[in-house]
Amino acid sequence: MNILSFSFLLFFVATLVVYYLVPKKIQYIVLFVASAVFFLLSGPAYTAIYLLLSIASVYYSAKYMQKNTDNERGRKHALLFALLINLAMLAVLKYTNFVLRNSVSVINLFGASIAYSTVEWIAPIGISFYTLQVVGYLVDVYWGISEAQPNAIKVALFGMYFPQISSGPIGRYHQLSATLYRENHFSYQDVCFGLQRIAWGVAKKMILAERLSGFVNGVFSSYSQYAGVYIWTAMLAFSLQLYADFSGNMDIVLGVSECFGIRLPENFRRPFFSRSIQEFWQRWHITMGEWLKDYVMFPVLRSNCWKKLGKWTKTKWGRKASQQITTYLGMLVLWIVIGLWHGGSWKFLAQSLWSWLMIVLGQISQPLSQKVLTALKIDQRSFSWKLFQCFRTLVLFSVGLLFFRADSLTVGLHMLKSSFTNFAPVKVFSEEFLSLFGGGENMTVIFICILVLLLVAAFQDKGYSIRKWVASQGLVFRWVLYYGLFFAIVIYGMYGSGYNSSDFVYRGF
Amino acid sequence: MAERQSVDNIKTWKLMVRVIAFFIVGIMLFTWVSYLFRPVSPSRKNIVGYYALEENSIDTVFVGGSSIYVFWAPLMGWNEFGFASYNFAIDSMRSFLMLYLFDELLKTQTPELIVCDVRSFVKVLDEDDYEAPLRNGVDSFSYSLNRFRAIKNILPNNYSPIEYYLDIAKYHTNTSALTDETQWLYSSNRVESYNKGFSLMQKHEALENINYSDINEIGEIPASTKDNLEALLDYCDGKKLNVLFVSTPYQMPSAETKKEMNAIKQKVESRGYLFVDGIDSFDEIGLDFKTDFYDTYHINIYGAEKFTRFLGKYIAEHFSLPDRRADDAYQQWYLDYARWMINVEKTKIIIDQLIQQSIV
Repeated sequence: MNILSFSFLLFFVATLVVYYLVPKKIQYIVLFVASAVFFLLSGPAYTAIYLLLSIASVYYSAKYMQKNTDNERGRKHALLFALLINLAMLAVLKYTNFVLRNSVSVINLFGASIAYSTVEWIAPIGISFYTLQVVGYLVDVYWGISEAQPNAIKVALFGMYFPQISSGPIGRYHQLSATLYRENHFSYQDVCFGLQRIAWGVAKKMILAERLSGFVNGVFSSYSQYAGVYIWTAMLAFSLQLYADFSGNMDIVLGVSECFGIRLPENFRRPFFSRSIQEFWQRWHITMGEWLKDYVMFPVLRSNCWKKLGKWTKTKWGRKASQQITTYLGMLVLWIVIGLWHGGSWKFLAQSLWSWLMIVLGQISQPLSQKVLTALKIDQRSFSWKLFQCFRTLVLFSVGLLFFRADSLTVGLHMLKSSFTNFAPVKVFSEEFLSLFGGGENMTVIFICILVLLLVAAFQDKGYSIRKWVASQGLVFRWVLYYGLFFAIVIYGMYGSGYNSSDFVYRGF
Repeated sequence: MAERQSVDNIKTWKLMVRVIAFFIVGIMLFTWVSYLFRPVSPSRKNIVGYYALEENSIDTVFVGGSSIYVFWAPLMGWNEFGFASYNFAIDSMRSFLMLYLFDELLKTQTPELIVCDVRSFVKVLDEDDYEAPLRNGVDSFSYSLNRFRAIKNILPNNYSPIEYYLDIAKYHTNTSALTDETQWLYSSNRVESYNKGFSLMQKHEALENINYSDINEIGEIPASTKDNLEALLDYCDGKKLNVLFVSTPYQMPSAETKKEMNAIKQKVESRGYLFVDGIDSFDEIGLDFKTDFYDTYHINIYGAEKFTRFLGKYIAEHFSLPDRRADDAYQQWYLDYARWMINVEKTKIIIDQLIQQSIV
């Protein structure tokens, strides 16, 4: 079930009404039933077996660990057993073809000519998301951060909560349980704010993301015909498209939850206002980054193996260099996992490694950059300098995203090379360029959307809550804004016959 | 405590009123925006022109397809017979829509006579053929239960329902409507049609003289329209409507079609209704395939004048309709007729030229 469909709207409204009508004590059961229905309507029913296996393994392991606090060995085995089941399912369903493809390629390098056929297994919706979420819960129980949840339905709900399952955000048990299982009384403000947020998300996706996809798809699908300014525009357009698509999706997810009185963590915090790639990744897909830091990078850095590495590098190159090397290598592990999480393809790894490289180079060059800026007397507090930093970050991010969007690593490299040839910026005024964007009207709508997004982001960056500000205005003004947003979606949204709106990008993970 | 509860209750009521008002205003705006974006087609002009009429001001409604709205000229009917009539007709008419057209027309008028064109009942229905006729009808109707029922009962399963129930989903890409004066004019979905639903076509085609008036054999009503005809006759019986069934004259594709029409005529007459077959009356009407048509299915203004005179005489002889020419409430019709005649003369000049070219 697509959350942009009419059927989801009916499903959501029905669930909301039932949620507030039933006794508060069983509200979480309503959410669980709704989540089960959503899951079954979103993919082949047999994929439910993977989800059930995941939740069951996590539930019983956590229960065992809670009961056997004195048996460290037993707890460790329970943890490893459940981790193995969950990560093995994820690995097999997502990476079998990748492993097959590359293994055969390596073997064929030695003169063999092995043929193979790919497997066509269908993974359950959101497997990449819910696996991380339930594994996080399991590890939290092992570390003593959370207590095991004795109620199996509550554990299941945590793993498959319907707004969140297909695209995140990835929640932590100790934060989410406080809001997910709470007895929520109907709040007019929650429902109002939730609906506003949903509308905002739909607008981002249907008006902006879909409009940009025309140009992006046009260039990426016929990449050999384009070079220079076309590829750069496609890269930047894709960054914007992905932001509008993914953050729009998150707005809908968080808005739906807000209507139930449930608070999910934010996944975006004005990433295009970032002044470095490092800052960017603290503002983009926040929950994934934080999860992987807490459950992958920090455990790696604290591991015995890493401590030994640290000691060795310290003797070789001194303390400061040792800290940098171990940290950067720890980050490398993190970014490799991020790449693999996105899917079994070298292009995702290429994007991750690019991001890692930019962060590392940024940090290494920091002292030298500081000296240069001081020598050039550049005022780093000035608006122009901050603007430059934001633009530089956007460009660096977009280069990495080129690999994410390209059909393969080879295509990505080809496009990157082409982007430096035949630049010809004057082509932005050509008919072909305009027609790739779908004409002048389309471009006008895109620019207006970007302007509105920037305005809203600027207000939010100053600490204002747009929704609270709007709520404090007069009735007529508020209604004009609400109707304006609604009709902007109805009129300028890219939907309808002859137009297949693309699924949310991150729903495929 | 009680006072606090009372204050909370008042706040809750105020909130509910506000929410309901928000939705009502929203629905009204949504309806208006939908009408704004709908294309302004000849079908829509006819339907919304009907809505703009004063209630119960029309004595005869002609209902059907383009096989009525280029055939019967209401203003000529007014001038020569005093009839207050209107063409409630859409393009690409199909039999599945007829009942809903009847329901729609009876909402605002109580005509003494309904003239129903049955040519759509010889058109075999094909599931791929539903969009245009259905949209010509329901995308002209105001939002109503009748419109909802029409879509629900007619739309094939493989069509996307939301784009029919909420037609803005289909037409929202027509953003030029936002700056188009005509679109804004039609956004109320009630716009006067001075020519009472008639279309003046500046086209002509000289056709071969193919006339199946000598075919008297009774064939079979097409299976796909038979039930629609039965339902229509039951409806007319149930509502006790005064209906004249008409098959307007055209160049039939084959003798089989004539046999089917003969079967329809037989069916209609067996239920006690009068039927006028334009093919059988072709010579009496005085139509000429060389000068009076603009394609095999439709006549031009010369043909319309002949047909209107013929049918008007028939109606005058068989039905007692009031002569509205002396009625003060219909004075505007004189002005409409004068305006229409100016356009008729302009059209005839063009058609004369086309006729000359076709002779050469």
